[in-house]
Formats: sequence, C-alpha cells, structure tokens
Amino acid sequence: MTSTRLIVTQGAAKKRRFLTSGRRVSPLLYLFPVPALALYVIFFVLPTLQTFQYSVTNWDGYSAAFDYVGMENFTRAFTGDSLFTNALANNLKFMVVVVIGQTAVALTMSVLLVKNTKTNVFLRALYFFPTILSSVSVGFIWKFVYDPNFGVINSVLGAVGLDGMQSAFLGDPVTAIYWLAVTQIWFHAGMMIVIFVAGLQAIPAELYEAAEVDGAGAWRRFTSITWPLIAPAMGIVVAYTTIQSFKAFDVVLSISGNPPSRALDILSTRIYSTFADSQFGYAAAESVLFIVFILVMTFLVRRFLRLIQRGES
Amino acid sequence: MTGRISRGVVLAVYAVIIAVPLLVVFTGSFKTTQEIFENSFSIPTSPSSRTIRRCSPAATSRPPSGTAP
Repeated sequence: MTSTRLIVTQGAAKKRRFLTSGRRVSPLLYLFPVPALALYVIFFVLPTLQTFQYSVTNWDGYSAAFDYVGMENFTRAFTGDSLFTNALANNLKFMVVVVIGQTAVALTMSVLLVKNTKTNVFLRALYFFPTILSSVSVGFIWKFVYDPNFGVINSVLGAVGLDGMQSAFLGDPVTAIYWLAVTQIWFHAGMMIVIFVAGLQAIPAELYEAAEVDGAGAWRRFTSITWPLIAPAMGIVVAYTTIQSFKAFDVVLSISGNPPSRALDILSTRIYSTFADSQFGYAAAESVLFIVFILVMTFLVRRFLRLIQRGES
Repeated sequence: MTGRISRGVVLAVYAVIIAVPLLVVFTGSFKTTQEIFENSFSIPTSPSSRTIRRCSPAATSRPPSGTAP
C-alpha cells in the first residue's frame, strides 16, 4: 500500500520535474496553447482588426481593388447620411426607455418576489418565460399584438369601448420606437429579475430585522438597505441592458421586416442594411462607430448610476 | 393590508402582460391561418393539430406548400 503510493508520488514528481523542472517552467509548455491561439488570432482577432482597416476604405465587399479614403466614411456618417443619424437618434431613445424601464420593472418585480414561496417561484418562472423564446418568434408575436386591425391590444380596446385609445403602434412614426422598447423590456426583463433576486437574496436578513425593530417602514427599508446593497447587481443589470439595447437586431428585423421602417431603424439594423447594400467600407466604419457608442454609453450610464446611488444613500 | 393588495395587483398585471402574448401564440398554433385573422383572441373553435403536424419530421422532409422551389 505504502510502496504503491510512494511509486505514484515519485512518478508524479518526475512528471512535474519534466515539465516545470523545479521552479522554472519548461519552454515546451509555451507550445501547448499555440494551436488554440492561432485559431483565435486567425478567425477572431485579425477579422476584428480588419474591420478597422476597411473602415477607412471604399471597398464594396467583393472587388479586388479599393482605395483608402481616410476619415471620409466617418464624416459621411455624421454629416451626409440622414439614415445613419436617424438610426442613431432612434437607438438613443430606445436605449433610454429600455434602460430605465427594464431596470425599474425588474427591480420592482424582484423586490416583490424575493421570498422563496411557491407562488413567487411560479411567478418568477412565468416572468422568465419570454427569455427562452426565440427572438424571431418574439418579434412576430408582438407584430401580431400591435397589429392595428386585428391585433390583441386594439381588439380588446375596441371590445371594452375605448376606441379612442386605439393606436397604430408600429405604424406611428413618432411612437413606434417606444412600442419596440416595450417589446424589448417584455423580452429581457425576466433575465434581469433573476439577477436582481440573486442580489437581493445575498443581503443578510438581519439587516431588515434590525430595521424593523427600529421602526423603519417598507419604503425606508428599501431606500436604506436594499438600494445601497443592490448596487453590484444594479451595475451588472444596467450595463447589460445598455449593451442589449444596442444589439437588439433580430427582434427589430422580425417585428418590422427587412429593411426595417425608418421609425424602427436602429444602429445594428442600419449596419446590416449598409452591408447588404455592398458598401462594405462604409458599413465597417459604422461598425467602428457602433463599438465606440456602446463603450461611451455603457460608461456614461454606469457613471450616472453611481451618482444616483451616492446621492440617495 | 393595502400593501399586500397593491403587491398582488402589480404582480397580477405583470403576469397578464407576460402571459397574454404567450397565450396568443399557444392558441394560435391550433388555429388555421384564416381563423387567426378572423378572430385572433378567441379560443380555437375547432382545435386542429394541422400546423403542429406540419412541423413534424415527416412533413418537413418535403418542401412545405407555398414556398418557392
């Protein structure tokens, strides 16, 4: 028994010495990640970097020759392309509504559902349900719900006599983007509820008991305990929601068709349409701007959130 | 007491918002296209599994009617 263990440990020690030879790591070890790294670099890093290269060209996507045009694509995006600025404006409206709405809905629901009773677990599952649907079916469901003639909302409003509140929803160029935001919130709030519930359950129950003993009401307990202690989960949810609101693509395309109507065009669908229009260089420039917008917006939203939370607590 | 009632109302309203579109899809899967357009919000009058059966492997092996060859 002891002898076999001795042999085993000796074998392990020998093997360890073979690869690491005491303290120093054998140079042979550096060869092992090379195949994986090569694949990653060739199929991920290089194409990503090439986007930056193509963003300063007028390449159409298939011809052999193209010219470098410098910053022309970027100036065109901001000054000479009303479609892009329209998509940017739509996307910003969409982002503001989704970030505020989705976070508020998810926080409210998770505060109400934090205890693990049977009803709460059932409701959490129900609220999570839209997340597991395919985004294309979500788009078509809501296209159907919003339909002005035989859609669910308008038929219910008509049936109860509120004909005045009937609306064209996605057909109304001013409000369409907000109805799209409602769909996005419906789709993704369940995921955020799960993150919030996990964050809320990590708050020690003694704090609430102590506050209750001190005579704090429900609202005071929320502002003094829940709000400051939910900050980490809030940071994740807000950053994730911001990025999601830029990357909403499949829902928009399935709810509005291809190409999306002008009122529903957001940056991701705009980039897709430009690529499909074989303006590869310009679309690459738009993609670079897209990355920059996501970075800047996520930074700003998180900064804003930190200000709010510091001000309240 | 009012707190518990308003909690119930909030949860119920949100549950309805989540469930109604899902139910529309579910009942819609048992309707014919014509029935969906005539009466999208009702329980299917003559529930049929035709559309479900169309998704089955046997049905998808041949191209579905209405698509270009």
